[in-house]
Amino acid sequence: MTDETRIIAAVLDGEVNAFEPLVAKYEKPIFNLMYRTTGSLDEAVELTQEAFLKAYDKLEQFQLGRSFFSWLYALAVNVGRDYLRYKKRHPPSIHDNPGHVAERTFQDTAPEDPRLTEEVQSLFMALEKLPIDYREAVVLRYREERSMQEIAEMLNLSVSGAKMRVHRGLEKLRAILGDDL
Amino acid sequence: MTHRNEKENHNRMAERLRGLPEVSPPASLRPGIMASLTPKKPGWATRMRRFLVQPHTVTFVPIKWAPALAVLLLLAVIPRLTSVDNARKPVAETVTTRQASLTFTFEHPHARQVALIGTFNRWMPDGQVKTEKRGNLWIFHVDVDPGRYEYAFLVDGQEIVPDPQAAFRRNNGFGTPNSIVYATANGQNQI
Repeated sequence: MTDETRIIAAVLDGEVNAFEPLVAKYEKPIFNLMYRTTGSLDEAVELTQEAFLKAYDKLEQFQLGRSFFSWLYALAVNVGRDYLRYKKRHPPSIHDNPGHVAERTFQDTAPEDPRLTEEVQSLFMALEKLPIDYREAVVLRYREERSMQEIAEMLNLSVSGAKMRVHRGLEKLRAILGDDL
Repeated sequence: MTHRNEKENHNRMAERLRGLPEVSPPASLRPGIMASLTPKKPGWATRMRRFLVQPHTVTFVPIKWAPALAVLLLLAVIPRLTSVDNARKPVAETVTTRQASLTFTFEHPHARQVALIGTFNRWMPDGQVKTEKRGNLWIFHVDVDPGRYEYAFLVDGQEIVPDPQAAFRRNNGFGTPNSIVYATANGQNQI
């Protein structure tokens, strides 16, 4: 029995605090996924919370012995997808929150090197334009260096579907970046 | 675009993606998540396992147990009371339903003593039979279980005389017949 399996068994037995090591281990990748999805730190915090709470609620459905991170990531991608769908149906109005302070965005957190900032920013903006499935496929493959098998599990695809998604995602990204590449 | 250029582009893209900086989540994220969770209710099998495995402490405060003890006491006493009642009822029913009262009369002008003997008293005169004499008429009362009985009258302790009023008789093998009576619970004593 792996440590994660033991932790999950304890959580299912009613030990709520046993869940904390899982949050500690995976909050960063999930937060970054949400940040890439929303482009906003505040929204990323909300969606990360939502993803973990959903994972906790559905923990009984997790099959012990499988990769918890793959399961969590797949669930978080769905949370991000639902959020984008909601945003599309309910575009923000100028009348909403008139006194609202501008949200913190990627530019607020980018490294200080101006050359790197520009390069990173253009890549980030290009990624933002990619549909979530393609974006996560290329990020998981090249940024996280995950295997095709893992990507397939995380995005609920077959292995050949994952390969296709990475290939097409990269092509789309190249097309968006154009000369900036 | 040549194959070489394509591969270079691919490598450059992979390199840029690898260098994509990661953003650290705010320190408040994890406590916020943990604070929103409520403990899961374990399944019945887990609860049973825990109950069996974990030690339990039992405290005893007599006054708190008093109502429960009173109830237990009542539960213990009530069945006994009802069983006593039940035990009594069959006895009463036995008396009323099982016993039949038989009455015989026998007239003899000279007899000094007449006794009723039969299978109900093993052919021996005893106190089970109540005897009264009215002139020459001897009257006998005996309570028996319903059934078939053979009987006769013993005159002056020597002579066995069958009941002249009996509807049934059976030869007893000693030269005199026995009278037969069928006793039923509803009080009829002869056929």
